[in-house]
Amino acid sequence: MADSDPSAASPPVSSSSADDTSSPPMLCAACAGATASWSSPPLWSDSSPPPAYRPIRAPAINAPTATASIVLAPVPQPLPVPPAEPPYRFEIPSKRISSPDDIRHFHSSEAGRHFLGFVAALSRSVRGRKLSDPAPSPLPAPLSGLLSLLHTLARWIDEIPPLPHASRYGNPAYRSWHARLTDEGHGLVVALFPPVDELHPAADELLPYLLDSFGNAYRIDYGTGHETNFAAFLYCLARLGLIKEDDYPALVLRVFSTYLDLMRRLQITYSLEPAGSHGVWGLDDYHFLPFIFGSAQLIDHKYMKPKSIHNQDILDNFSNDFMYLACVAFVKKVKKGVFAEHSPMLDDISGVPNWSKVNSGMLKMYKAEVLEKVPIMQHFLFGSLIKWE
Amino acid sequence: MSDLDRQIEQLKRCEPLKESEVKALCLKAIEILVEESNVQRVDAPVTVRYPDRITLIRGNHESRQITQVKDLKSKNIFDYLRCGNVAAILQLDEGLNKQFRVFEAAPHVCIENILFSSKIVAVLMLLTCIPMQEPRGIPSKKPPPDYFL
Repeated sequence: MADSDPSAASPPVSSSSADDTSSPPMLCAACAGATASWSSPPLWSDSSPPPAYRPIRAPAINAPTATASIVLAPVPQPLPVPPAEPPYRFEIPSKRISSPDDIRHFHSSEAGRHFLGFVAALSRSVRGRKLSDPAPSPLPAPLSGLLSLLHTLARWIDEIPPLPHASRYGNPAYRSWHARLTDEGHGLVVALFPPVDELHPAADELLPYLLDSFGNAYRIDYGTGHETNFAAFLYCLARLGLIKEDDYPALVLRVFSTYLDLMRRLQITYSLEPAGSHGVWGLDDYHFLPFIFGSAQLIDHKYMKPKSIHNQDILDNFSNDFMYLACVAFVKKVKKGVFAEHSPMLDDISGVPNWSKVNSGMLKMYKAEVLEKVPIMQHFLFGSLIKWE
Repeated sequence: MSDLDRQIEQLKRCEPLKESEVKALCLKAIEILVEESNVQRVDAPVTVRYPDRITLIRGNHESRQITQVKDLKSKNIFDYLRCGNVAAILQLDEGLNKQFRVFEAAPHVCIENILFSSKIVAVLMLLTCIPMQEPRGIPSKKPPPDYFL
């Protein structure tokens, strides 16, 4: 270290003001505002750390900006669904999660790992597949059963029209629709099963998952938690052996896409409120899974890149084939204004170089933003098929 | 000196300087700063005994957020110089005598005013405030959210 040169300038312990130039009070040439005071700036000291800077804009997600933990988090991988073995002990499922510790417990348990693995497996199964790709014909029984269940629910919308209602969200006719689901749900679930006596009691365990898949009747809202319950319903069917891995593509491309169409009709017809939406800082007001499955569909597509969502022609012509595009088209239809302003997350994601990265990012984000959030998972139900242990 | 006057006037009008001019100013500043007693040249590799007491600052872009949002190749002098919470100002008077001042964070400091004065050349090495909106005409690439990196 060079010796201090006494003739060199050194930081003053106490500063003198710049008044030796005896200039008049200065105004900003640009905004004509008062300038910062030159006299007696506070002393720099180690015990008084500098104030934190204000970021350019608020963080894009309600997660801590601890980026390393997010970037380094593993991508959820597909796992086979463990079959449930007789003797069955079906039970009415109940809520178990109420704290972050419970969340951690869930994700380290068999149930947590396999449920997430099921979602990842569904995503994997539709890589490069279009919605219009031919499905096995005839569809296996539980899948065709699910389709007719969803079509029945859709028919009820026609039979229960929305009531005249003043406020923006929450048409009370939804409660009638939901009450009908509660009344007739048990029969609809039983119709999914083959006529095997052992499985009949399973309807009692599965029904609550189904009832929670379409929104909350009291609050007249819908969100990613309800969507997750529908995935849990499908997971239970898979555990019972009614859905096999070979069925996964049709499960996503036919059954889930029909569920999606039904949900959009419900959202529009009954003005369902977005439940727990993060507004512009979330992915979508209502859904998450179609972005996972939709991005998988587009992996290795010859010419469509994530930035293609900005091309209206592509949205118009290919929404029928690709779930992700249909979601973006729906958002653009329902929301007013510039896309980058009402959906900045989707806009930011369109800058990702390829769909594979979008897909793995969506899976990571689903785990962190949906499955690890107490306000969502506190409603998640645990029975004998999704076990709390 | 007239060159410096002209540059000051230009900055007061919120007009950016040419990259070569900024580079020349920075080089001059380096010449001056390197003589300070607390500036020490260190060659790699460096062994750090107390790593949690060390903060590595990459030039003027101290925070990841700034580095992400600002285009590093921007020609606007404001982008070269925005960083951190401390303003350090060198004053060179006509005799090229140095005076060195340190200011703690000031919430809004207009760069034009720090550079004011026909007799003073002030090269602002560190600035305090961070703009709340994008400066006009500077394209910045929005990074994708962390899940997608």
